[in-house]
Amino acid sequence: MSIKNEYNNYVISGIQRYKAIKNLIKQGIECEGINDKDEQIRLSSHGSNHKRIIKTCKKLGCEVEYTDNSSSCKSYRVGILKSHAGLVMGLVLSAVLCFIFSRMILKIDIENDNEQVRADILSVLDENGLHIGSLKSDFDFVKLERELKGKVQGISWAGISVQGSTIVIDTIDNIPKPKTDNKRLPCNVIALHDCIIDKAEVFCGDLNVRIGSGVRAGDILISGERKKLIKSGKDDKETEVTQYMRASGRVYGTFEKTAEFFFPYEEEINTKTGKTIDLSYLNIFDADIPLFLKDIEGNYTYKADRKPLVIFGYELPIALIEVEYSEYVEAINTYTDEEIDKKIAESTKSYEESFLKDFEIKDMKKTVKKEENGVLLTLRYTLYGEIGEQADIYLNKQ
Amino acid sequence: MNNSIRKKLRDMAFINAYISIVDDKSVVIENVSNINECNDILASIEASGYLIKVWGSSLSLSSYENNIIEVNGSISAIELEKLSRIKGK
Repeated sequence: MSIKNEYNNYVISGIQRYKAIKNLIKQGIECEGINDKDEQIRLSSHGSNHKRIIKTCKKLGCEVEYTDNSSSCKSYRVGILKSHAGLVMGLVLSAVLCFIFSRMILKIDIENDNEQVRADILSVLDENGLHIGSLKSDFDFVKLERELKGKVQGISWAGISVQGSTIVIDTIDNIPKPKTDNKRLPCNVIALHDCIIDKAEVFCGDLNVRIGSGVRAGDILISGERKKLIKSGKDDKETEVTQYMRASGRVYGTFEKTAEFFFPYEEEINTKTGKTIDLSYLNIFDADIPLFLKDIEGNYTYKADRKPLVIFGYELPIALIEVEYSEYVEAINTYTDEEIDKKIAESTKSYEESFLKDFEIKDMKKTVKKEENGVLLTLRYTLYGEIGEQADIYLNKQ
Repeated sequence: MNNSIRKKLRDMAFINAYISIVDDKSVVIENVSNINECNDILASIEASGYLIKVWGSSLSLSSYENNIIEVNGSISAIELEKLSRIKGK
């Protein structure tokens, strides 16, 4: 075996092996890893000491075996790796996680202060399957930008850029249109319902209808357009001139309005069982990592409480979310005739208070029709009240 | 009196067994005259008239010039005995 000018391993065996070591020390030969095992001393030393080690051992009648260190170097390195298995596994795991996370979307940064716009953008992204944890390669961001511009109200432009694992959505808000004051524009007063005119109070304009006559919805009640013949010139030639004004007035009429309600005999309702489960999630950026292993089965409503981590007044994007799940069961509730009558009365009262409070109810016809699945209620009201509304006149440019 | 003179002379000649405990992984002993034993749990070393027993696990020795020995491994205890007592001198 050729001796390289590097470290070699030696195995010294024999009764005088410790004496050989003593002599090696006395000669000042540097040895490493001296260890006695199975009556054999193992050590390693530099190749330059090879001859002296062999000579000393042979002189004392000891047997010496030596090996090149290159093979043992490998086993030594493997040994180091084995003794630091946790570190190696951690490095491998972190490399794998880095590789996976570099391909995922971990944060969505929206450059807009309006909460509604932010919510709309997230909603559109979610519709397209983009959320925290999605793979970046699955999306065509140009297409998403177009979709955001089309679907999100309040923005005129949207741009998406990818910065590592963060999606940055930059937006430009709509420039608000200046409010136009249309109080000076000419207008008519038109009818809102098909009705019979009972009374009219005209403040400005010409009344177009007669009291007691019937009108259809959209008919002009008070006109803001007046045509006049004006004499002008030396020969007093009459010319027709149209004068526009802002018509105003109150026109009262009697009209009919119909409403229909359906009350099913059976209705599905959620009843709470009283069972609650408290669970926690670790919220990092927008990702919720469950801090539990059990599966939740059944139907639950939930109430979440987010506790962010705050250091020196600065809120970190890490939070603990405590969620209280309340179990409920879906049950079918069957209504009796008395209960349906009560619901009919409540609905009628609620409808009149909500939608008919501005009108005087002259008459009301109630029709209750029993069907296979429930009861159909038809309310036919005869109402009296103001039925005119101002509608602007748009003039053609001449 | 003789003892104190001998002690001073040994100090001046630097022939004492200087034992440096670096941490629980390494002990350095100077002026080593002999290695009596070195296995996984015990390294028995003679240095300047003392028998130094280093106890631990996975022990190994490294020898350097000027009779310096370094004990490596997981060290738990170090014992010192005068050689004259052992040999009955």
